[in-house]
Amino acid sequence: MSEQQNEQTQPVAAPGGPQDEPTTQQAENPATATAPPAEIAGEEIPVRLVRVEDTSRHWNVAKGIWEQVTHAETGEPNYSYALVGTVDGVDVELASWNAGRIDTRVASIKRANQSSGA
Amino acid sequence: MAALLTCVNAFKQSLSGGSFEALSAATKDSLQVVSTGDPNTPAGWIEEVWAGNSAHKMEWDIFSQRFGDNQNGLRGEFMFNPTMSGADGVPQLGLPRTLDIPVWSADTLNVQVNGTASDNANVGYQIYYQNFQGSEQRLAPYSMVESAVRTGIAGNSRVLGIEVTVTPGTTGNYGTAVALNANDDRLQADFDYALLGYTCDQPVLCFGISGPDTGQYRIPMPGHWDARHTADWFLQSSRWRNGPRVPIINANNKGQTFLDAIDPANPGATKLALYFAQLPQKFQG
Repeated sequence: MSEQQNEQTQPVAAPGGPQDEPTTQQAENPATATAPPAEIAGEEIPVRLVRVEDTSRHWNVAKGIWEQVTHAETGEPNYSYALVGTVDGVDVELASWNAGRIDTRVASIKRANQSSGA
Repeated sequence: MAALLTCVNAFKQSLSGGSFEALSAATKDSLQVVSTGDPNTPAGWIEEVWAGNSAHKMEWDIFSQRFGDNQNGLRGEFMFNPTMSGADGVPQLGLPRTLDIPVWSADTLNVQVNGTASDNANVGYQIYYQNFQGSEQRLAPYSMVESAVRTGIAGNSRVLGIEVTVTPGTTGNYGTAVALNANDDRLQADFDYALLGYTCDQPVLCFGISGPDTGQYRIPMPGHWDARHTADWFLQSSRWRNGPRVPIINANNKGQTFLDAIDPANPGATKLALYFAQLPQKFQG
């Protein structure tokens, strides 16, 4: 039988490699994980999206001072969007995103909506 | 004649979307390859291509009659990664590391993207000209710089990181240029320094450095999120190509050497650390 015919007659779902039969011990103590539940139950903790000012500083050689880093064109400080969860009374920053990039996307969506509505 | 390492950035704010559309060269950049007077010898090579989009995935292409073909030429894909904190995949480096594609005298390249309406898009590329009339650029090979770093100077290792805070422009173009010594003035007078690479505190499509030692041409530094790509950017570029790609900056030019940056999505003021190795004697390249 050629290799091509072999491929055609093989059941699609069957694994290609050899498989061992489970031992008696494995059958008594199955290690196979059960399927995860469709819903995860437990204590629910709300999360918030917070626009946070970046207060990091740098040295200004001309002025001879440490100063807050600001945008060279607008003079505004940097911001980030922080995804915050309050766990056991403490705010934990789960993730944060550069605000400039998020705000640019917001502006982009607004522009798209305006042009489609016009 | 001397070598020249430089870049071209192109951008468009608020794409029409849905089909390929042309990007315009950024301020003082030109999509026309320099004229060498020799049409049958490569004028230079495109060594790197980077791309960025503010909100979605997109396609980009670079083409001309003499670069690929006159339809889409070199066509690439840009992956948008919104789950990456602080970065969306900008920049992505689109060329194989060691593959350099020739460009030809006086040819005008076209840069296009096919993206989503209202997005902002940027594409840029690094060009190396082997013989560029009038270039005063000082570029060293990897071997010379590596030897200098290993040796040190008079019993001291002299590898420094100099911080400069650079802000890309708000509208997809180059932002305000900042002097090399604006935030960290530690280069020792009269010494030459080899620029090995850099790291930044957030991703930015591309930084540029220009000044007397670069022949006033902008040498590009894509601000990849993975410092492994950037910390040895010039060393690796030189090593892969077995040629001079390491910029040499004299400390006396620190006030006239400027950094700027470009990005499609206004990421804001970004701290950039430039890794310099002090050379024991003046570079004679």
